[in-house]
This record gives sequence, C-alpha cells and structure tokens, in this order.
Amino acid sequence: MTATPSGRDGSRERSILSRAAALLGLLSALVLGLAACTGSGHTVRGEDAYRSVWASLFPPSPSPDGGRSPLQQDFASAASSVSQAEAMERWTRFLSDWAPADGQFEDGMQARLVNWAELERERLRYLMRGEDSAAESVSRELHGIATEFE
Amino acid sequence: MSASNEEIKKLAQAYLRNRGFYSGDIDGLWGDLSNKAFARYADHLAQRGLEVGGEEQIVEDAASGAISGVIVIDPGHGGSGKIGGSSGNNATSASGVLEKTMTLDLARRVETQLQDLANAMPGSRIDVHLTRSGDVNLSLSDRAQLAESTKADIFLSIHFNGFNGRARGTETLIISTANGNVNEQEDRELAQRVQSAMLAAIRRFDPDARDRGVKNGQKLGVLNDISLGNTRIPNKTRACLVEVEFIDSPPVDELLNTGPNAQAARDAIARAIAEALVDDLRVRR
Repeated sequence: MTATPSGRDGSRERSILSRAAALLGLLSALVLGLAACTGSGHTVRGEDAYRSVWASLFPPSPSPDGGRSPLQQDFASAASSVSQAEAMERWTRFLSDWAPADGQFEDGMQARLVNWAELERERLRYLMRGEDSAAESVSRELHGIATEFE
Repeated sequence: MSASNEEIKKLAQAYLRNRGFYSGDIDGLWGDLSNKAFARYADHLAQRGLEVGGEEQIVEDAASGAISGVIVIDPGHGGSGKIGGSSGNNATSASGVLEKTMTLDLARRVETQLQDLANAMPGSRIDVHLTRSGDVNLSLSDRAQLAESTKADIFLSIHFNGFNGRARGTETLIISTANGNVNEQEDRELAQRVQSAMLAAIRRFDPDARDRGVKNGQKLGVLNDISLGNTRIPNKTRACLVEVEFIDSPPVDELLNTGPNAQAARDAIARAIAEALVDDLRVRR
C-alpha cells in the first residue's frame, strides 16, 4: 500500500468511523462489502486502492506490445494501476505525453483515450481529496462511456 | 453571358454560389456580380490546369447535370515518427496489418472509384488529390493545407479505430461551430452521407456492423478551418474524418484483411464513400 498524506487519510478515516458508529454493528459488513467491490470495477473507499473502469475492458497485453501503439500501451498501463498514487502518476504522465498542447487531436482514437484519461484523473483527484460523491458522479459517467465499448 | 433563359441563368448562379464564387441573389439577372463570379470560376479552373470552354460552359454544366469538383483524400498516419501532431501509426489489426497501410489502400481505392464515377458522367470533372501516396508521414496542418492549395471542395481524412479487440463501430467526425468550424452544417451533411454509405457497405458483408454516428465533440487538427483555409478563401472546404471500423476486432480483420471477401469489401466501402462524395458535389452544384 502506498502512503498518502496523513491529513487526507485522517479525515477519511474519521468520516468512515463516524458513519460506522452511526451504523453500529454494521461496520464489519461494510468493510467486507467494500472489499468485495474491488473485483467489480468500483473504487475501494477508505484506502488508497484504485481500480479503473478500463482495467478489465482494456487490460495490459501479455506480449510486449500486443499489437498496440504506444498510445494504447500507455493507456492500458495507467488503467492497470492498483493504487491511487500510482494511478495519479501514470494518468498524469499519459496526459503529459499524449494530450496535444494545442488541443488538436489527430484522430478519434487519440481524442477518446485522452478524454477518458482526463476523466480518470478527475475522479482520482476527488477520491484522494475524500470527495466521494463527486468521484462517484465521474465514475458513473465513465461507466456509461465504457458500456459503449464492452 | 448570352444565355437568354432566366431559369438557366438561375441554375448558373446557384452553381457558382454553391461553389463559393457568387454571393448575390439567385434571380436570373446576369449582372456585374455574376460576371465577376464567372471570372473567378474560370480562373479557378485555369489554376487547376483545366480548359475553360467559354462563357456558356458554366450554364451548360449547370443545366446538363455534369458535376465538377476537387476532392482531397487524406490517408491517416504514415512513416514511422510523429510529425506535427500526426503519429506514424495508431491502430493495428488483429493479424498485424497497420492502420497506416489500410488508410492508404482505402484512399487509393476511393480515388479509383471517383475517377470511374466521373468518367461515367459526361462533362464531369473530378480532380482527386491524395495527401500522401507512399509510406510517409505529414503534419496535420500540411495535410489540411493541400485542401487550401488545391481549392478543394471536399477534404476527407481516412482512419481506422482500435481499442480492446471487442469494440466495433463506424463513426465520422467533424468539428463543431463552438470549436471554430465556419461551416459545420455543410460538414455535417457531408459526414452523414459518408457515414451512411460506409455503414451500408459494411453491413452488406457483416450485419453486425455498428453505427456510432456523426460526432462533433472534438477538436481535430487535420480538420482545423485555419489550415483548411476556410477563414481566408471564399469556397469553404467541406471536411470530415472517418473512422471506418475497429481493426483490432478479429471479425473486422477478417472482413477487411484476411477473409475471402476482403478485397470485395474494401472495394465496396471505397465505392460507397466515392458515391457519397459525388452526391455531396451534386447537391452543391
């Protein structure tokens, strides 16, 4: 697990504990339920675990390039991140490398992947700030997009 | 201009106005504006090395149903390095055929089909230019600028998609007015013609083809109006970018590259695109 700034973790833990207290004996069930979400494309709350909606739709290729362009390889790499810190680093690098400085895309593939990456990074920022409802809103948008490409 | 029939003169004025040479009313009154428009049109033909057959030619063209136009076809990508926003290659088919190879192949087929269509229409002239004819890359602006230097009526950029080996679909992209397009409506009409034609051609071979429609949400460098010259010259180039299919999908790879009908499918798609482009020229006569 990658360390994150203690201030953000602290407030998030307090928030979860507060909710857990309100729910009394449901704390265990909540933790178990959240842990189970890691396999269904949802983000785990309260920790810095990360799972992109694209992780299962566009996993890294088992072969060195898998017939993919550098653009696709970099996207798959970022999508396969397992921690928020790693994801933030990889999505930021992806956008630095592939988002055109003048905002002019070369084709539909580049436009699509860069736009998705921007949404992923936006969701990640919300998650890392503990703004869960905002993160969930972006997550719903991403899931809506993803269904077009299943 | 000695044509006496008012309706013929109206046809000629509409012909010139739709091609961006005339900005006056379609009233059949052949005055100074009409004469200047004809002179610009004659100069336009001369610059392209075409013989101007006299002042009556425009009326004859307008009345005969013959069409003329300049079409620039842009096979996406090429070469090996990234140049001016254009990557050497993006998508790769399931069997390893590169997108840049497929775009050039399809562009050449569209060129051939356009020439066949023009030959089948007496009096018609269609000049076709490819932004590249070999495995070289060009910047996005250099591609678009060919449309300006040739005073193109239509600019079509050809691409293929790729994602996860499962996604399918055909889409055509244009730039929105909000993103600076000076003629979105004309571009959309062109794009819809091309999109419908491509989709119908693919569905003749594969009923699973999916329509992703015409989209205008992105800024695309190769369709940039400044590069296309649309902000500086009177005849606005109609432009769109097609993403024919997701070539990393095995069924698409079989359809276009490895299957027994691959050549026929590529020819059918090229024919459909060419007919859509000619239709677009025709409605803007």
